[in-house]
Amino acid sequence: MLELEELVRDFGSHRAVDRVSFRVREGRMTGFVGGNGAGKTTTMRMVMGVLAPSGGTVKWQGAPATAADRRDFGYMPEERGLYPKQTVHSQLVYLARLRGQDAAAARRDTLVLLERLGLADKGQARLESLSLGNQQRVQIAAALLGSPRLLVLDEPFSGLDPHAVDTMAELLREYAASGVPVLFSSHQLDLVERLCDDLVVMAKGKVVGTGSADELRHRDRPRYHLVTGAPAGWARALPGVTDVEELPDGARVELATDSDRSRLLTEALDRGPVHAFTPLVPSIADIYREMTAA
Amino acid sequence: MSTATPTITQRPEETAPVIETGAASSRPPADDVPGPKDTKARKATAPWLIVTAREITVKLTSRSFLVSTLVTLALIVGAIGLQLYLADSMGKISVAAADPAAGRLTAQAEQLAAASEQEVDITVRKEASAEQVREAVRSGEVEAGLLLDNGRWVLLGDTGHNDVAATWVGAAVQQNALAENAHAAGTSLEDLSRDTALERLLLSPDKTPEGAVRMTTYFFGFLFYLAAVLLGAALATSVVEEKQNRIVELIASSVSLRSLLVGKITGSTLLALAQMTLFSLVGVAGLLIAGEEETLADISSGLGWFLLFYVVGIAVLACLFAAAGALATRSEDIQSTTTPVNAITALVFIVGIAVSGETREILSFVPLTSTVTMPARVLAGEAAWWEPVLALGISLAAAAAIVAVSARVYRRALLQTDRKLSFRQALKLAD
Repeated sequence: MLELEELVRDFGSHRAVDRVSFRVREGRMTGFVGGNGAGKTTTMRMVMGVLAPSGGTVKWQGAPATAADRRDFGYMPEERGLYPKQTVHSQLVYLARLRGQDAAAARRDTLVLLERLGLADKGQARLESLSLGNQQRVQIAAALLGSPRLLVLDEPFSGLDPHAVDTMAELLREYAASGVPVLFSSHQLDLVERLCDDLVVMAKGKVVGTGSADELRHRDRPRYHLVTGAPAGWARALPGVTDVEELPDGARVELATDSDRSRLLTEALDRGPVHAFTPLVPSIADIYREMTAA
Repeated sequence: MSTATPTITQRPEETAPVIETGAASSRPPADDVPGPKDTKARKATAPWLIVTAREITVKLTSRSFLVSTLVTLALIVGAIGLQLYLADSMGKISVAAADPAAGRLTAQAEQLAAASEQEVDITVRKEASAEQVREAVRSGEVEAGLLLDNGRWVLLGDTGHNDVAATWVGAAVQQNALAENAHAAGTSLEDLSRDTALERLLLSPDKTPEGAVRMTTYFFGFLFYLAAVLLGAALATSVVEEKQNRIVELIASSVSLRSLLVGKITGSTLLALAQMTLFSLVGVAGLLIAGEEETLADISSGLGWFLLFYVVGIAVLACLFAAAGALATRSEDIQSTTTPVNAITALVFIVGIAVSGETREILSFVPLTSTVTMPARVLAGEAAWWEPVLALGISLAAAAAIVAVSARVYRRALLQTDRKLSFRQALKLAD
């Protein structure tokens, strides 16, 4: 498990990351969202040891993360880049060896990943001769080399073509399923919705919310959309109803607890036909907007 | 915005299924399954060695590196060839003459030249008349003409006189005339030239001659400068490569930047030394073919000391170029960040061969300038045994210090991929 404890980073007088604490748990995909300049990249760089924290600790399996630990972390930096003039295979082997693999394992890993990413026939090509889409796939391979024990991916989906997005998503799921904690940032909230188990929301250098996606979706009082064909202002009078937004053909009703919903539905049926009665679950995008709105 | 307070904090773990630590790595490793596998080497190769190996492989397979090496080699071979050709053709002249005595005279000139260890080969072309001799010289078919005019020899040239002919034929004529005049005066040439030779005596014949020391100093000073040209831009460009390609963040997350720098310095330096060795061998072969054994013997005096200081000097220089590369963001910046280092190198070359006395003594302990001044002092017999050792120690310490500072600068300038930094700015930035 990766734990960030009170992580702080100052650039001169500007505090880019302010006492950030959260966890990335084994086998869970943790989405890391926030606007530009929220401090996500700076936080990830501190996790990877590329930037030194001004304060706080990055812990791996309960102890402060060491350089040796970090060699086992797979990383996709925000600033993408590889050696354009070197062949795909040789530079991946090189990167794997820098991460402590012996030459044979590095070659084996590289071949497996190239195969997996559909680049098996591109190994001997120079990177610059590949299409942009394939170059991005090589970048993905670079992050997954050396059997990582943790994945830290800064905007892994940005700039990917739709096929690569699917491959990437599938790969990440597999890694998570095999027990690897995965932390990834993204601006594409629909992807975060689709993929993440846990969510960390940052705004202006601070964590404004963390939790599992399910918890976050149900953190507010349950809301239902009731369609009866006529304004349903009557619901206000019911016990357990905390808020009613009257609509021309019904209402949006907020309840104190979910167990109050039967009373609401029974009352509605007593008053006439009910065309629809649906729970309103907020999307990640809704949650994000609410958390970062000020 | 900051009023949006965190309303949900992470729940204790028992609410979520958490895979236990270590459970993942106990899975049977399979190649097609992602996730942790124990493929790490028991005793991994040092990262800097991996960097060095890549540096050398990439360079050796780079067309521009191979082409530039071959072009330099071709230039060296060409220069030696040209010199050989010139030296060869210089001593060979053909002379047109109508008088049969000319043959004897030129043979005498050849002998005189041979006595002074000069190879001169004069071919006489027989012409029927003085007019034909003049015609042959004018047309350029021969380098010179010889005419006997009222008992006096006349050397003909067209627009200028051939130096070799003028010197050695002149000497022959002079010798003959002196012998005749001596005979007429009732004495002999031997008597006339008795005790005219200056006797020469060396007081310290065992010490390395000063000229040889100067020659060696000059030679290694020049080699140092050449190495700077070969190594400098290549190393600085190689150091900036990762930043320019933006792969540096990926690498920095796996190995220390010092390992990266040391690996690059080692790789580039080894390649530059290999290039220098290749060029030097070709040069030495050329000198041997040209019969310049003496020059070679001069240069090789005290070769050991010079080589030792040379290698250490190159290492210090490489570290400086790495620092210059660390300051740059793109290869376009290299020109300006390496300018001070190039200036230092030129200074080492000039100062190293120009200074003497106390200044030389001081400079022989300063890194870089010690490269040529200390071995020169050792050869001249001026230095005690501990002095070169101390100078080497200072150089190595300086190299280590420069690498440490460069790594710091490099690390601090690491994420500044948008602009070139001044040295002061880079030191000011936080890690």
